[in-house]
Amino acid sequence: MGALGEKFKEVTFSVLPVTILVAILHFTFTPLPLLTFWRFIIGAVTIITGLAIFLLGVDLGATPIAQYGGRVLVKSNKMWVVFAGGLFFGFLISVAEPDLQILADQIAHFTGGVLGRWQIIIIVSVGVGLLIAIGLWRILRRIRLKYVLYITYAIIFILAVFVPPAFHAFAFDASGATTGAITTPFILALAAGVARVHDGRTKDATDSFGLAGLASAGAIVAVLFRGIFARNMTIGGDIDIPSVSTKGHLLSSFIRIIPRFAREALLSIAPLIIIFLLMQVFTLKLRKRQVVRVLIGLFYCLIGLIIFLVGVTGGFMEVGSLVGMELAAKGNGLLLFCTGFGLGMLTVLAEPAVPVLSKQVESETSGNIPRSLVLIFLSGGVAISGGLSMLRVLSPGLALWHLLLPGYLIVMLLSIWTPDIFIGVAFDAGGVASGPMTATFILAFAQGAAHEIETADILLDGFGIIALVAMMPLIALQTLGIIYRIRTARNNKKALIKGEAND
Amino acid sequence: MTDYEAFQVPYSLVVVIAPHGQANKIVRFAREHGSSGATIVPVHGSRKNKWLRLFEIADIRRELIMMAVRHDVAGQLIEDIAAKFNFKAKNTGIAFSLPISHLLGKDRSAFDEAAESGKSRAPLGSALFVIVDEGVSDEIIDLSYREEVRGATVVSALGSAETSNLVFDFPISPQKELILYVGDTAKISKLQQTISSAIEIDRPGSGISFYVPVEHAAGLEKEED
Repeated sequence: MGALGEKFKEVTFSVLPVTILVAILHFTFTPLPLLTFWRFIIGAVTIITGLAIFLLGVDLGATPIAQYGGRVLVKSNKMWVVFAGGLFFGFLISVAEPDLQILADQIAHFTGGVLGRWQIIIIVSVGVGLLIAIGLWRILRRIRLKYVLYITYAIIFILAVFVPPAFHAFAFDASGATTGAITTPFILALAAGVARVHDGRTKDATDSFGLAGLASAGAIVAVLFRGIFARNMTIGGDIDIPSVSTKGHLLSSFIRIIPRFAREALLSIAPLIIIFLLMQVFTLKLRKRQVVRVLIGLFYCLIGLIIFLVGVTGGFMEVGSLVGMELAAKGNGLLLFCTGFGLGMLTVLAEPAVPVLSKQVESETSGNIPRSLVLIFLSGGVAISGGLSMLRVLSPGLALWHLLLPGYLIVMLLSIWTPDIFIGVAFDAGGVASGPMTATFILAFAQGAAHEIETADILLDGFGIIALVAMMPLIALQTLGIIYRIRTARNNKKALIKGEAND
Repeated sequence: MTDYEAFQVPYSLVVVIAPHGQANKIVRFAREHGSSGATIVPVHGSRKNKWLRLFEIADIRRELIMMAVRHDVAGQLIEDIAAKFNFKAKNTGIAFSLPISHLLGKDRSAFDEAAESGKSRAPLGSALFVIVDEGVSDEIIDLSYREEVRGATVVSALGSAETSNLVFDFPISPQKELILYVGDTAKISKLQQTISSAIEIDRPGSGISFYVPVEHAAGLEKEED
């Protein structure tokens, strides 16, 4: 089977589960309007097509660019070049991230324009760039990821005490927004590129992970930092529930949004083109054949991303909010909780960056950590996020920090025993899980449910879901790490006993 | 100088290049048919279709298996694998064996027993190895299709001729690609010439290429579709 066929097969298996779950809901608890249901099916097919093309493009274009980038920086052999390069790469990809622009618009709206759109985008991008630079610096100086994370999250918690509560949601959502479909594969490959050049043949994969996690933390620090200077700000406003159009032609919901997503996708690919061409002109000087290959790859990224985003928004979003509304209207809390759980579990599999991360884990560890295990634990983690989101919608007194504070305390506690490589993978997975699929489908579902439940606040409950989706994988994958550690220790002990018996 | 004849051991290196995911099955099969162990390397190949290559979707993941096998059974093993895994069909795999001149790590007593069954046969063709900088393989594959040689296998590798330079106090090695062809010696020799002149192989740092005799081979001739 060729490269494209393989991608199609893989992507079909990751999109099918959530499709089946919604189909089951359609035939049991929440019958959808027929038009909506067919749009959903068309959406699923569109998502499969887009994702397959996109992932092929990531392999051919985005990953090589990031790896060349990592190599160019390291080979300069000057720390200031690595630092400046990391800052530049991080800033550029974050500034162009469409999710961040949407979030910035929302924040500007809620703060009555006190926090301007561009102000937020630039602050967050500087934060991301800075943490990527620090992340590269720590790989080269061999400083353990753990310590950098402890310091970063300590700063986050100190800042969090002094900002208005709405900023907690803004900040953690910003972290989800910066790790978009194209950003995450780029950061993952950049880290692997730097770590690999550096490790040469020893093939120690520990430092290949964690950079995407740091980048997300950078966005949180940046927003909270800005929040310190916004203590007397009034925050309020209404949110538009994703409009549910149960009329019109079957395909109209898709065609209408193509221009918007074409612009967004082009914008998010643009930094990669700029970075690649700059490197090619000044240092890389690749052969023509290689340049063509990378550019074709970027073209696939662009086309795939447009098709994917159109499919998610045109086919899935309205189903998400409809299912949320209808389930909530039934007044059955347990059913709502279970559906949130199930949707979280299966939706994360269809996130564009998830196969990129799981594959990188498998290849960097030479198969020591199998892909399927990473996927199972990631799914389990996001399932709990989905359930918790519904719990928040159902219980009016439950604030975001009531979940985030103990959650992150558990994360920090687990990291004491987790092997370093799993800490890196876990923090990367947090960013990977909170991608465009969650941001549209799960968010629409939760907002739909919040819309129907009188005690719920669409604004506060809607924001913060991404924060939960980003948090639970940290706990789940570190748990996997600890299980691995215990098992390895037990096997070693067995081998030792066996060895002694032989003596 | 070491004399190859004097050290000739009755073993052959059986190499199988198979579609991704088949390696474990093939190794299990080979174990039941005379092989004792195997090494599996992830590699990739390419399909010849001009359009697939133009759109950069011609790559196929493959697995390369290496096994040291007694040469009196090597030929039969190759035939058996080719028959069992249907290497006659297109885009499947090939199997061939190379003579081994020195071998350590095998039971010595097996050598004498096997030696009686006769020396290795006259070469049947050649296996060409080209080692170049990462990313150059695509150009080389284009060249080989022009020369009517099919079936390139690419292995990602690290290494360099010079002592590796230090970056941030750590040694680094440049990334390379090893490209492998098997075929008729005349064709292989001509391909080596073409590749060498195209990538200016005499320039320091551009790469190396060599070929070695192949004893047995299966799956080189594919059914036409």
